[in-house]
Amino acid sequence: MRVRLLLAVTVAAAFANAACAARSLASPQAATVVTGGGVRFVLMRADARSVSLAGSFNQWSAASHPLIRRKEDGLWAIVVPLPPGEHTFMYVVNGTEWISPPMAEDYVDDGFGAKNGVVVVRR
Amino acid sequence: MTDLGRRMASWWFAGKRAAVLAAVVMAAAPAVAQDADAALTRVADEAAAKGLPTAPLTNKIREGLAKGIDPRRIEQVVRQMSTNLETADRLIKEVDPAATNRDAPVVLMAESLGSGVTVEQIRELRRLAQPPSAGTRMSADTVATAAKGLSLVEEVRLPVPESTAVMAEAVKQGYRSSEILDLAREIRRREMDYRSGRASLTALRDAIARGNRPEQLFRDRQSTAVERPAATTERPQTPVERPARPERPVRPEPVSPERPAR
Repeated sequence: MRVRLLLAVTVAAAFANAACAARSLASPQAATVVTGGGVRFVLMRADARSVSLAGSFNQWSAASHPLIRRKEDGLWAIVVPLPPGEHTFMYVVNGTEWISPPMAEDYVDDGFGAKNGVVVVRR
Repeated sequence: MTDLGRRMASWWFAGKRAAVLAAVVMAAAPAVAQDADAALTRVADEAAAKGLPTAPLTNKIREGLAKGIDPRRIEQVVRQMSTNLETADRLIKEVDPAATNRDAPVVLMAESLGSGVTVEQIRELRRLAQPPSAGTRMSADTVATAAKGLSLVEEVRLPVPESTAVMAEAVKQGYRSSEILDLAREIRRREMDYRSGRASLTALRDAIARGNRPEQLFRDRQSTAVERPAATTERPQTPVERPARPERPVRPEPVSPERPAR
């Protein structure tokens, strides 16, 4: 009887863990923070093999600004020095998947059916 | 010829036709790509010939190509941007015919046109923002920034006349360009407050007209009844640091009691 109960609890916990993992993959967290050294771009994508930053400041290159992955939690980050003004950007996951930043200061239509994130660097 | 021979000959011809078709498509593909590239380059060249700034166009072309968008779609978008730049250039010339460096205001105003602000709304904004003293001329930068601010507010569908009045009042009170844009973004962030009636654009315009500076307009909890605290929908400015999840304790293996041997 106790063994069955233990088995049921273990199975339920496994399902709960799987659901939690699925939620965390489906809703990656990110934000931009303007710091003294530049703008810090972060994206939580534990499942990604690579993440890079593409935007109006690097001719939308999907290769020039790769983010570095923090081992413990799968948070990807990069600090980019940007001139004052308004900059638009997106993240490129695994080299092909263009995603709008989940949390940006503002958003703007890219004209192609997606939203670019906006970061404003003040003087 | 036997059935098998006929079937093999048929497969051979079918395979040969497919190979020829593939070769034609492969040969045509670079030509199609070259045509598309040429069309995109032509749009930027035409804009340059009219004296319009081309940086936004080339940037959008690069963005579209990087994202793998169909070049025909990119061309549509870039042509619309080019039209907006032309209209913006005309409007900036109306504001300040002698302006030497028009690129920045033209780009800003074109962006606002691209976001849905109309020429009539920009002219109304300019009329409302006109300084009372005759002979004083507004700068092209100021009008373009106010138009951009109006577009930011309009995107969240707040009422246009009240939004126009707020932007015009900010211009009249000498707000700097960055202050006008910050004001517009703050209104946008508090969209729900304005929509629900917890805050009012008319009250905000009156506060600006009374001489309140941007930093005095949105002081939550210290407000002079112009604004109430923002709704809870406001996004945090900094990423929320979450504490690391503690290690899950290792569950001891269940030990079943030894059964006595029968």
